[in-house]
Amino acid sequence: MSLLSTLNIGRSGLQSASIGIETTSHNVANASTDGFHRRSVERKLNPGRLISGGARVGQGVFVSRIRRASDELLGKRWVEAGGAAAQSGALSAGLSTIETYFNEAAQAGVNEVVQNFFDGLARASADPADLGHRQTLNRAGASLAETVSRTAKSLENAIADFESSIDATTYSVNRLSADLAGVNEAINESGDSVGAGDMMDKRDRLAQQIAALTGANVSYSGSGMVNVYISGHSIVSGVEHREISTGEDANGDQKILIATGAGFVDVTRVIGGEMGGAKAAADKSSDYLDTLDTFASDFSTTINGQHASGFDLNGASGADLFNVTTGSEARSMEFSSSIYDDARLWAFAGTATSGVGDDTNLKSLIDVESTKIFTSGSETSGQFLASLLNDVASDTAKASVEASQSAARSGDLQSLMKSLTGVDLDQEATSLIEFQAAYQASAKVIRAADELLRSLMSII
Amino acid sequence: MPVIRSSQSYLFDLVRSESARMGKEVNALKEQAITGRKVNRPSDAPASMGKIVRIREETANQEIYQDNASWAQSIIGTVDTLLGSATNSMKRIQELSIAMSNETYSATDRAAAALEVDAIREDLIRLANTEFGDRYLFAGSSYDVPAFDSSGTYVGDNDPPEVLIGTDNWVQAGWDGSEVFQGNVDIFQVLTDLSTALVANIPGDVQALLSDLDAGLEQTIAAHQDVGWAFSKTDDAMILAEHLEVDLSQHLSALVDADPAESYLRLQEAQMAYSAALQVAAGGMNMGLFDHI
Repeated sequence: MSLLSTLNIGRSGLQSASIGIETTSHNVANASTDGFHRRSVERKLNPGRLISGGARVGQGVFVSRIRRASDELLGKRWVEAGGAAAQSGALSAGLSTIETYFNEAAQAGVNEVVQNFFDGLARASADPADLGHRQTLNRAGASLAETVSRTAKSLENAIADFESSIDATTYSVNRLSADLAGVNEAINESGDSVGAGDMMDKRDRLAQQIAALTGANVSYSGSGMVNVYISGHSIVSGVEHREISTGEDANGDQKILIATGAGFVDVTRVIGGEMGGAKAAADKSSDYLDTLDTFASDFSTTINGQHASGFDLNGASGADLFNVTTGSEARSMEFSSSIYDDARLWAFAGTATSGVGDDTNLKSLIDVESTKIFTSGSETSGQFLASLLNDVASDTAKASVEASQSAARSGDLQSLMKSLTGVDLDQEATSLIEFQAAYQASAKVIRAADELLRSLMSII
Repeated sequence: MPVIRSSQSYLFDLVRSESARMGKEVNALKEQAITGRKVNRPSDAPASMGKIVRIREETANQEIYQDNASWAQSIIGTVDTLLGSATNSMKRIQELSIAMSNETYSATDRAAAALEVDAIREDLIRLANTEFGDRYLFAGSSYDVPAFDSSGTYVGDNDPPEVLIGTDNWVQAGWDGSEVFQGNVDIFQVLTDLSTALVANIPGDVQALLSDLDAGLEQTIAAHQDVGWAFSKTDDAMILAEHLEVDLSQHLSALVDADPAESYLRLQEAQMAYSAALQVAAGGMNMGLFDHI
């Protein structure tokens, strides 16, 4: 028996247990640290010593590596699910705001004011000459124009907000991509694809953040580096990264670009995450705005045309009731100020010389409500606006359901991931007891060897 | 999803996400209970939104139809009374004329009758110029001016006004005085001729006017019946609009309103579940092996 060898074996046990306690303490300290993966100590036997007779005597233990709990496949799926959840969450949040602009809960939306306008015409039929009815109509007309214009402005502002948020997000994505490329480089230089635990925690957190913003996919290289792609277009590849930016297409709409060595790749239609959600919300808002423009344009043209066919209380032809500017019809919609100031100018009569109660043209104006002037003559103004409201309602509800579902999917994967890689305090407490016992036992081995050595020395 | 280990962050995440989900559900139920509506925004009922908008529009229309019909009924009711009175006057003229066409009456009697005929003619012109509010009822659409001038000449127009009392349902709410009083027979002219014949004390001339007076009475009765028909049309329209309004309101309520008892019970249930989940979470977090070493 080699007493010095026994001392060394004790020392190796002491060291191994000490590293175990240290690692357990690290785990406990980071139990709530975001993105931290549990570490565990991997130990191996020291090579045995050959003794006479050919037998081998064990020589203790050494810590071969500190293992970081991970599951790359699950991690990849979690990152991607996070991107999808962020996209549908951003779209749902955006559309929930847009929905309020239609103000249907307070029954003061576009549908309501158009209905009030036609209600005013129907009430005026009781006494077309009555200035009270005519002034009520003035207020209904002004309210209609104001509501359409206000809704359009709110939509325009929302689109601008979505676009500026996309613009701002590109800076975050570029910073995160640069950081990730730097972390990739550090992992690569460490030469330890498994052991560089802290770097890998940071790497995964960065990849997750980029995916949440862009809906990117990730892939792991053998050296532990992460590559990030937006629909196949790389934005982080090993130690390199590519910048994303925003621009405008030929229609003046915002587009999202990745800079490559040879120019730019347009990823507007394929980007996901928060940017994709914001872009989808902007596109939906733009569709609603176009519909509102169509309404303002066609409604004004029809009602103005009909009003022009009649004659007012002064015997003059009806002036335009609503004014719109081509290109921004809804936003610019205004009720005629001259008619608002003089209700006698409502042209209800059929001829210039008719009596004050002539309602020939008033009847035609009332008929506009049931005339199918929209969608190639298949919808009335009420039906057209109800379709718009239906679109807003179903888009918002669908986005909300999808947001809940994708958040649940992402949550499930996150739970599974945290279950696999997170810190279980009870497990750590058990490990602590185990390592503490191992440390105490190894210390006793050293003391026993020391006592044996002392006994030996005392003989000499 | 199988949970392999209960890591610290997994447990806290679970509590966070589940309490957020349950809190959201409690808030949604609170909103329903407070507002009394299950549809508080379009996305609460996307499939029903189009229907809700249409029902609201139709309900608003029924209110207008009722208001308009009520207004028209006031006008028509007044015209009905006026034409009832005109018919009585024409009957009195008829009786008087039949009597005065008899040779037994003296010139003095006929002169007195002529005075009565003149007074009735003036009354009829006054009646034809009756104003309802600031609206002359027999002036057609030119109802801002009296229908007849003092000589009995019609100055209104031939386009009687109408009021909307239902979908594509209009009712006349003013009359063309020239048609009522000067249609087949110009009543005012016949009365002038009658007065002249009475003053001239010529029973034969009075006799000759009897057929025109009959026609004048029939004309007045026909106009009166026309007014009665318009009145009944407004009655029908009001009943229909009232029924439709009630039916539509019930239909809208079924789509939009929450059942108060159900809302309250569901809220209670969700609050209890939420409270229990929070207690379990708080209790579970206090346990751990570290407390025992």
